[in-house]
Order: sequence, then C-alpha cells, then structure tokens
Amino acid sequence: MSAAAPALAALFYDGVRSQPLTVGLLVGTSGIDVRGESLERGYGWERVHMSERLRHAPRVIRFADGAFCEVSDQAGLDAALLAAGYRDSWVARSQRRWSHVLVAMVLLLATIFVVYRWGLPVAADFGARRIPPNIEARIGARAAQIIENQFPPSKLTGEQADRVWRVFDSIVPSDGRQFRVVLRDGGPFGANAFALPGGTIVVTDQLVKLAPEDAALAGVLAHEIGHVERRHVMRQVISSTVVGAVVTLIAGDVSGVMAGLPAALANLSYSRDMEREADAYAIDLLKRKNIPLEPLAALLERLQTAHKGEGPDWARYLKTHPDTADRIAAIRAAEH
Amino acid sequence: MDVIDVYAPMPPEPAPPAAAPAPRRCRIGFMGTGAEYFGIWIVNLLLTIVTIGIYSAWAKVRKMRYFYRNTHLDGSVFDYHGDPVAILKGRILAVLLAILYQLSLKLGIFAIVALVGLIAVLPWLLTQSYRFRLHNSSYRGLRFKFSGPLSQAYLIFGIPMVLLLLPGGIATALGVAGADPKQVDHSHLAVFMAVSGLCYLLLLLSWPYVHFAFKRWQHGHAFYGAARAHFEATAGSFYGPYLAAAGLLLVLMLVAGILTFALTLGTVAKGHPPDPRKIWIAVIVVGVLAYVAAFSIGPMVTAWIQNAVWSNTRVEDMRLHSDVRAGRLVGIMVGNLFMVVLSLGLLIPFAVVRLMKYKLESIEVLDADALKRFVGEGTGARVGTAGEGAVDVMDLDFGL
Repeated sequence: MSAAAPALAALFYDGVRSQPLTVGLLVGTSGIDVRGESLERGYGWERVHMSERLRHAPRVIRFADGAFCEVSDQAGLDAALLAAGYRDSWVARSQRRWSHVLVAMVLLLATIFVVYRWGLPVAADFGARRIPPNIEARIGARAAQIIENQFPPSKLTGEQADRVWRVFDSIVPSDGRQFRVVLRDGGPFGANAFALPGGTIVVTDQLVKLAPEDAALAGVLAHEIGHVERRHVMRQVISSTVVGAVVTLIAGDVSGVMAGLPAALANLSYSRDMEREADAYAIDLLKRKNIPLEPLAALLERLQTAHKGEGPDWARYLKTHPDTADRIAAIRAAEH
Repeated sequence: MDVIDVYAPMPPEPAPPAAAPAPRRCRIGFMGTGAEYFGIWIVNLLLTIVTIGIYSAWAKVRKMRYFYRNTHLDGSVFDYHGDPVAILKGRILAVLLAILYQLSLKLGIFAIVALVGLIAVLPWLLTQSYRFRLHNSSYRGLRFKFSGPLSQAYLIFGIPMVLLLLPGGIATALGVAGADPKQVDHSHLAVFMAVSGLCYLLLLLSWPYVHFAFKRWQHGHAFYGAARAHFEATAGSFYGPYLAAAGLLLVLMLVAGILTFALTLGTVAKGHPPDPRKIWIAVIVVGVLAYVAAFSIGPMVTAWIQNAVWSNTRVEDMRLHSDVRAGRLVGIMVGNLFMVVLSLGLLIPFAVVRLMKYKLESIEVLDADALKRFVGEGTGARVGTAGEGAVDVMDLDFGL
C-alpha cells in the first residue's frame, strides 16, 4: 500500500457497541486499512462490501467481521476508489446521472404506452380464451342474479316479448354456447342492453319499444352477442387487474386513493375499443343474415336523442361508448 | 422547543459539565432530496416493468437503503440490510396468495373459505413483515429486533377483521345478500341489520384501542441491539385524537347541513321552488367541506398519534420526543396532492421525500449521549422473509 496516499477520515463501529471511533482509512489496490487510536485492522477487498454512492449520505463500508465505517468525505473516497479500480454497479451509476435518468424516463413512458396500447389487449384476449367456459358461466350466473334482482321485471306484453325471442332465434349463432335473453324494465337507466359473461344478454323494455323494426332489434342483439363471443367482460377483468397493479406500483408510494382514478380512465378507453369490436361483429352477422343495417343506425340516432343531456360531448375519455355519431357513420359506411 | 441539530460528520465531544448537566438533545435529520430520489425511482420503475416485476425486490432494497442511509442521528446514519432474493420469494408468495384470494372471491365458490384464510394468514404476514424490517435495520452497527408474539397479532388484527366481515357472512348465510328486497324474510333481515349494526358500532368504538394495541405491540416488543424498547402511551392518548377528529367531522357536517338548509330547503318549506343557483352554491360548499374533511382530518390524526407514540417510547432509559404539527402536516399532504396530480405522477418522488423528511425530523432523542452506550447481541437468528414482500404487494403497509 502506498504510504503517500492520505488517510480518509471515517467513523468506525465494531458492530458490537454503538460507540463511534474516529479513524483514518487507507484505500489501496489490495484492500482497506483502518488506522485509529489503539486500532489497526486490514481488510482485503474480498472482505469489504462497498455501499453505493449517494449524493449527500455518507458512504457505508462494511467488513466481513461485522465492523463497518461511515465516510462523509465523498470526493476523497471517490478519488481513492477510482485509483483502486473500484466501480459502482451500472444501475447505481445510472441512477445518479441525469442523462441516464432522462433516457430511463422516456423508455419507461414508451414501455407503458406500448404495453397498454398493444401488449395488454392481446394478452387479455389470450388469457380470456383460456378461461374454462364453466368458470365464465359461473361468474356470469352471479352477475345475472344481481341484475335480475336490481331491475324490476319486464312490463312488455307477451306479444312484444315473443318478437324479441323470434328475432334473437333468427340470428343467434349455434356454436354450442348457451345464450339467454333476459327482459327487464330499465327504470332510470332507460333504453339499454348489456351482455354478461357466459352468454346472458339483458335488454330493457324501453329499448325494445325504441326499436319497432325487427332489423334494428336484431342489430342491438347482434352487438351484444358480439360482446359475449369476444369475451369482452373477461378481457376487461384481466386488463383492469393488470392496469390496477401497475398504477399501484407507481402511485402506491403516495396514496391508494389517488391510484384508482387513472386506472379507471385507462379502462374506459379499452371499453370504447370493445364497443367498436362489437359493432364490427354485429355488422358482419347482420350482413350474413341479409338484414339491412340502416335500421340499426337509425336506432342509434334515436338513442342519442333519448340520452341527450347526460353529459357534455367533449368528455370522450370519460365515456364507455365511442362517439355515437362515429358509430352511426361506421355502420352506414359498411352498408355500401 | 429548541432544535439542536446540524449534521456533522463527527459528533462533537460534549463540553465538560459545569453544574447539573442537562442531557444533550438531538434531532433526527434527513439529508435526501427529491431530485436524487427521482433518479432512483425512475430507474427502479423501468427495470421493474421491463422484468415483469422481478426487479421490484432489488428496487425495494435500493429505495429502503436510500431512505435509511440519508437518515442521520447524532452524526451517524441508519442502514438497511434486506436481502433482495428473500424479498422476491416473499413477493412471489404474496402474488400467489392474492391470485388465489381474488379467484375464490370472483368465482363466488370459496368466498367464505377465502375470507377465513385471509384472517388466518394476514396477522402472520404482518408479524413476519415487521420482524423482517426491524431485523434488517441498523444504526451504528447494532441491529434492531422485534419479538412481538404472534398470538397478540391474531387478537389485534383478527378481532377487527371478524367484526368487519361478519355482517357479510351473515348476509350470505341468511340469503339476504343480493336478493330481491321484496322476497327477503323479514326476520332474517332484522337479524342481519341488528348484527351488522352491532358489529360496526363495536368496530368504531374499539378502533382507537385497536390502534393503541397495535402500536403497543410494535413498539413494546422492539429492541435496539440488546436494549429493549418500552411503550408507555395509554389508550386514552389514542382516544383523544380520534374523538377530536370525530368532533371536527361533526362540526363540518353540521355547517354543511345548516348551509344547505338555509340555501335551499328553507325556501322549499315556504312553498317556493328552490333557486337553482342557490342549489349550486350549496353543492359547491358541501363539496369543498367534504374535501377539507377528507384531506385535513386524516393527517391531523396521523400527527397527533405519531406524537403520542414516539413521545411515549423509550429505549431502556433513553427517551424520545415527537413534535409533528398537525397544521404543517396537513399543508404538506395537500401540497403533495396538488404536486402529484398536476404533474401526472411525475413528482411523486419529491412528494414522498418531503413528507418523509418532515415526519423524521420531528423526532428527537432526549439524551444523545446515551446513544453511544448501547451494545449488540451478536448476529441474531435468521428471520423469515415472506411477510415483507407480501405486505408490500397487498398494499397494507401501516408505516412506522
């Protein structure tokens, strides 16, 4: 060890008593020597654990015998370690360098965006297809029970209800899935229809009355069948779980309450994609059955009027359905 | 209260005592900055996401070391010794447990089994977590230690959980849950209402005591080296803050109620239709009051409880003191909220450091010279690590 190197001031602790001792450190290529009043110890590098450099905190040097040192002279220790050929791990060095942190930030945002936009939908679809049908049916049955209890029974006449069954039977695909249509009074929810996992489709009286043409009713039912066939509810469950986990990871440091909002917003965007997918499925199904598309487009227009005043149009990210005007345009475009 | 603390690399030797030497007080200091933590945070997040969560264990160790090593007391810093591999194992176990729990709840088949399992496992996980954290914390080369008995953990966590979950269980057992209100047996409904009312009332009344028992268990069974910590707070010192919070909440609700009545209902009672502008004003006033309540009462209780806990904890004869000011804590928390929301989360590290710094620097050791006189026990027994990861993943960290 070169005797010319100045000793670094440090605090030494023996690991047994909490009494700090003032010592000098000699950092060399073979190891570290500790020199203090009535204290002289030498540690080879294999018996030294160097902590990572922090900007202000003293550096902790642990030794194999349980003793350790705290060094506040950052610059002095940096120079000594450089001379001795010691380097921090690349992670520790990146954390300190602003250029690397900036790159990491850009990479992080890019990764989150790519996974969210393309990775997660594919993964959720892959996962949803592998959920056994009986499990999906069980989840659906529970949801159906709650819905059937919450909504008052349908007030449609037998004739009106028969029309729904007839139209449904004319388009329902025979792929072995147990589809089921449930009629309910929409109450404050008005004209609406939704699909539950497993194959239950709930249609409100108000919607049936708003769709006097069979073709329009067929369009609505085909849209809901699309949700079932594409397993949208299960996909939503999977993607919302993943989004929730990532948001918790990022924001969990601060508050669990705040973490909920961005996750909810992110899921709405998926749900709009799913509406477009269900529309595409309905268009395809209606075309195969030679049912005109225009009545569905007209029904959507009437629905738009019926639901007017539910919220401002600018709140696109707050809506589960894509802009109705866009949907109508897409349906009309498909007809020609 | 005078503050004596400047971070000095070498503790100054105390001047020779003249007459009756007043013990030298020393405040905890935190020298970390939000900017420095930002770098650690971003790199941690990137590597965690890229490795599908595996790096999170190393991320946790880097984060803990950052906070510990920047915390100084009388010229020496704290240190964290957690092993990332051990933490990773804990996290894998926790993720498996969480998936199992979620699955059994969502499927609605093993709901009861899952809940009972959760009640059985959670106290154990929390105990393990706290043990792991303390055993891996050190100051001046001496490790901390925790010897809190598991049986007490089951009492402290188990009873409130049972009270919380019993109404749901009763509802399921009686067939009240999710059923059409018109078809439910009225005697069943009455039983359900009575049981759940009783459970929630008991939970509410006993909550300050539960919090007290939890802190007594945490602090009363902690060791620094071979020295035992003692917890001398009373249950009353926990009821005080909670009662004050309840009183404050009541006042705010009363104000909101009177304002709403004055603005809207008063005119309705006289037969006039309410003025829509006045309704809007009432809605805004009630909303603002609700936010004031949500963001101020929580931090206030936190401040008062932290003071009660730390001012009544001693390590052998060395006493501690905490003087968190409730108003300042509310200010920091509300400021942090704006900072985080307006920056879309990017300033989270700055918010975390600001809060941590204030909470840590509120704690004082009343006899700093006693800090030199502690001895260790040698290396302690190995500690299970399952809990540490698990509690993190389930987001149940109670904080210290």
